[in-house]
Amino acid sequence: MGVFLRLAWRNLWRHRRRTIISASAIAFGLICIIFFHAFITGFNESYIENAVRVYMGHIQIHHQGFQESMNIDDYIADPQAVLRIVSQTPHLQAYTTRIKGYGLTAIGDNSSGVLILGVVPEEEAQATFIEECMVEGKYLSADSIGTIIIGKGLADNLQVKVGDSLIIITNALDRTTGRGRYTVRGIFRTNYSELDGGAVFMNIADAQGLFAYDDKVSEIALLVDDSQNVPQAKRFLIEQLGQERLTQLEVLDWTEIAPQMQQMVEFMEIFLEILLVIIILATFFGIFNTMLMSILGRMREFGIMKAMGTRPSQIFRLIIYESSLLGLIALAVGAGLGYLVTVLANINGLDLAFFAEGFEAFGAITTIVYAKLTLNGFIFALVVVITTTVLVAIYPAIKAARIKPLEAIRYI
Amino acid sequence: MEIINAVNLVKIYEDKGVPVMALSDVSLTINKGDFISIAGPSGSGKTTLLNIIGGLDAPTKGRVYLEGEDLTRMSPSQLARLRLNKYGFIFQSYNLIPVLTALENVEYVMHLQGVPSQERHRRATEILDEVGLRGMYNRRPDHLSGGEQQRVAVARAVVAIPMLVLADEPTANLDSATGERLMDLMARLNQKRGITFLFSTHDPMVMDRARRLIRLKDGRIVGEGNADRG
Repeated sequence: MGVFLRLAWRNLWRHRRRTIISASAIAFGLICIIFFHAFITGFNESYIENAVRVYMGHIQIHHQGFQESMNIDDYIADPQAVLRIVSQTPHLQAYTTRIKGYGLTAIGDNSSGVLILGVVPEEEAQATFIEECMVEGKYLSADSIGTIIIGKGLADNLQVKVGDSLIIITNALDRTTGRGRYTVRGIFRTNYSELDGGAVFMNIADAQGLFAYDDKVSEIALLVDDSQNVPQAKRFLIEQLGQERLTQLEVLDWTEIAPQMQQMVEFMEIFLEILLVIIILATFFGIFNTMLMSILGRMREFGIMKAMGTRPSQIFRLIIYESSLLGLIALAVGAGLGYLVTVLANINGLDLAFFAEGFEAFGAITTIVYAKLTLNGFIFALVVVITTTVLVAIYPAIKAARIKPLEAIRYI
Repeated sequence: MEIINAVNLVKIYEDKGVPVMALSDVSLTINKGDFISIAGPSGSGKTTLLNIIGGLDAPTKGRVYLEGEDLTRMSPSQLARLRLNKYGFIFQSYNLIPVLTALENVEYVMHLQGVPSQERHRRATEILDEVGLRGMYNRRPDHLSGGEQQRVAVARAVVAIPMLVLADEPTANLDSATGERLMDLMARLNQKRGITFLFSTHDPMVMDRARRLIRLKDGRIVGEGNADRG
């Protein structure tokens, strides 16, 4: 071991308590950085996953303009041709075809505007969480013609229970008024206010009749295996639909369908950055003073070393070694504990029931967030902490390296 | 053989804006093998003279030549190299590196000089044995008495066989018996190894042991000659 490394290590333990306190402060900062990074990553992923899996899907295909207008005239005329392409999409996990339009539902004197969703029950159950969100009654099935499932909010609003019949009225494609009576087969709760308060799911065959759609559909929603693969899948669909001259269709990913979600993710990332800056600054200033005091208290010693011929660069190196060793001790402890805490938060999740109302606004099915530790996040935390620890020492190291030996020997 | 030639040294300090004359037209030469004491009361300029000769301080006027090279024209890094290779320092309050053992303290300068590990160890143990610290190699300064610490400091100063050892009141913090033993040690090293010593003191015992005595008062040399042994 070089003499300066040996000196640095021993200097570190001259004031054992001070070193332990400093190392603990740095380790705590590191634990916070690892944990919050993993927590926000987990939060964002679960937020996207929730919203995507509740109903939206990663990608939707519509007729141009349908997403904006919800006009029943903007339909996919040949869904089978589109589905042939969809089925070859890279990373495809599931898809669902839907007829979608607004209407009015009524029971007795109560009525409400609703979003009518005609779905293939099996497809919809594979692509979304809707079947798992049933709180009363049953989910739709292939032979459940003439029945619907409705959101809990809508059920409460209309004072409807399972087994009651609702009338649904809408504008049909043939310019007539589509009208039908449907029995409530089940009630779901997604915590997604748009669905819970005003959505009605029915078998696609019923919707085709109600909207006079025949074999047409309004929307095909796709789920891919990982949100990272959305751009690749989207590119493929645009290219293939173009080749098949289906250019009247639009392919939108979740950031375009629900831009507020993307904004939320970006907000959380900015929040994380601010949080990290605060933690880093708190750690920096927490140990800066300790480090400075430690160096100033040894100026006379540095003076003697310089008088004997130690070069300024060697004094500088000695102090940087000291802070690096301090950082490495903190790193070993902080990285270990940070990893442990994050793994526990990944396995057990963190129940944020306290903030449940806020979560409902985000469309979360569950209030439990699972921290997700990424290799990048972990390495980032380690690099930030070791860099901070070294940076903290630079000013005191320059001060010690520059002092004249005689001034330092006289230093009190 | 002349190793140091200090010519017309003047040093003026500023003390709260008031100029203080620490050295006034001091000239002296030091020859190889000298055992010189600079004596004088507090404030007479002893430490200032030692610091200027050792390249730790610069004179306001005058020149210091070490083997013909002018120290006062050297850069800080040249002076650092010079201190490392040509000088040994013994300070009043020992000033050992507290986290290093006696052996490591003695090896430190040789470390800076790039002396290989085995050679360092051999020379350091040899000199520690010579100063009477056999068996105390691995003790840290806080486990050594004042006299033992000062002997480590002497060993550290001489181990690299410097051209000149500068000792600033080396016995000031020691009791008289320990101080005498330290002077015996330095005199022995001077005679046996031919190491040149220049020390400042106001201790009559130390003055008596010097072979050459320079008396300073108010920054001026007021007497110089061979020490009176009578």
